[in-house]
Amino acid sequence: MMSSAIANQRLTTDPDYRARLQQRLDSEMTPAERYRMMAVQFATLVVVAIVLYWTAVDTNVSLGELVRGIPAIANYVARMYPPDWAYSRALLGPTIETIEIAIWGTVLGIVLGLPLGLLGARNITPHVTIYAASRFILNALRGVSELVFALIFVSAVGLGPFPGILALALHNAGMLGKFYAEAIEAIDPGPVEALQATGANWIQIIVFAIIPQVTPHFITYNMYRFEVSIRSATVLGLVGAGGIGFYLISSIRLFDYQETAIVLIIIVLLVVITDYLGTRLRARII
Amino acid sequence: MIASDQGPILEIKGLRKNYGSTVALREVNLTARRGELIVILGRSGAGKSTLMRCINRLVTPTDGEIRFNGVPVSGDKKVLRAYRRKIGMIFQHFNLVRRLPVLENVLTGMLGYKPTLPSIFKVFSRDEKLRAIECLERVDMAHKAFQRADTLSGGEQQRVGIARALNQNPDLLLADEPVASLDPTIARTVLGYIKQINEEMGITVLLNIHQVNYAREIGHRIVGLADGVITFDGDISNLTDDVLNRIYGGKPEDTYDV
Repeated sequence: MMSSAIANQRLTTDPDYRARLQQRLDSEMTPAERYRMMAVQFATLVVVAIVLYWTAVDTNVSLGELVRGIPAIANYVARMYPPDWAYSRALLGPTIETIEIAIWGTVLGIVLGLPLGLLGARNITPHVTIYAASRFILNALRGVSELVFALIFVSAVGLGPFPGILALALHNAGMLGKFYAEAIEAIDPGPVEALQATGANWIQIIVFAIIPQVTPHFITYNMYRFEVSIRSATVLGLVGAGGIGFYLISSIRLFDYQETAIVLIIIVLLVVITDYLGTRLRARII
Repeated sequence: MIASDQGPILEIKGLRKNYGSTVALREVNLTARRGELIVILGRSGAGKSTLMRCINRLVTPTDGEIRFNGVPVSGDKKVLRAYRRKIGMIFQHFNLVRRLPVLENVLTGMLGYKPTLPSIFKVFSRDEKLRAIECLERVDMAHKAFQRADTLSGGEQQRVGIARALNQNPDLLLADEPVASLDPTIARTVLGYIKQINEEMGITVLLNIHQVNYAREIGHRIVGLADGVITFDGDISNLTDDVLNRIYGGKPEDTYDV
């Protein structure tokens, strides 16, 4: 084989030298260390396998059941045909509302997430306490699903798109703030040092050394969150927070399969178009 | 390769490279004999890097012919792979994979010879690893084999870069400004290793450099490049101030003193 051919080429034949090279190669770890490493790897593998098996049993993961369910799924899909195209006219308003919820949910998310991200980046935070507090707030915002937020806001401000916007905004702020903070932590520290050396203050350093470096990342994250928000906004209606989701849940509950079909088609189209436009726009900006 | 082991190792004829409307190389003709060490001298932007990258086709030439070991270089994938693995390259910024250990960086020099499957699982035989260690030994870096590349200093990283190129078992070594990011003492050490590789292993070397004093210390044959044209090709002893003016364009005190 070619690979061994090159391995032998010019490889020294002087036995003393060769022995020294081998010694060097073996110096990475002693046999005892090697066995210990292998034991640790094996143990890890066993633990992972046990956890996967145990969780699968506990949650009734069963291929057999899925296979037995296929006829029921096929039946469900068959009843969706043909989709109720006429119903799409009634869905125009809710579709636009869904996009509007996503726009404002993203914009407010950016506005809230930006300061939290700046304060929660270890390399530029003014104080460790502020860093810890921002990270905690971001974790809390991210940990709660937008659906849960939507339920809370629906009871606070009533049914409609507004609670949906608030819910998306809070969840987006949690996500974006973390992304922002991590992008800032990954920047090249050189320019920051150079500006510090000129006597620039905290805000000046952020504006001149940090923002230019992270802008492309921020744009990517914002557009990604907008796409995700479109998706999320299609289900917010399930809990009464406006958008097309309300029509999805009512058609499912009324067993109107053909209406369900058209709602699903519109949702998929919405996501596909957003993704397409997002990709085009990103390529142009970055 | 057997039949072509006579004759020049590298022949470049009428090489041209345009980037849009910018002309990087106008009309370059250059022949390298087996075992030669050629210093390519010129200021930044003269086309030195482009010339090197045309040779191993990191940059596709606009026009002209390049023959390596008598065989014309084409863009055909199989041909290109066979050809690139016989040409090592070292870079100004070292271009090591910083998060991988030194030894794995050197092993990447072998990838041109390895089938895809074992290499993506990082399977290397003991002989292959020994060979990588030997390459490291040649640049006195074997003692750092298991450290991550980003823990090394610049000079050490460049030595690992040289070991990676050596592991290709190259016939030709392209060194693109290998010491431009290093301080003078370390730069001389690194140039020493390159010279040693040329003299002891018989590997032909093309060395891009912009400082004349380094060129004087290491070189025999000097090729001067200015504005994409070769303005001088001859022995180091003929490198007069007049010739330097032609290469550096009249302001030598700014450009070639270190």
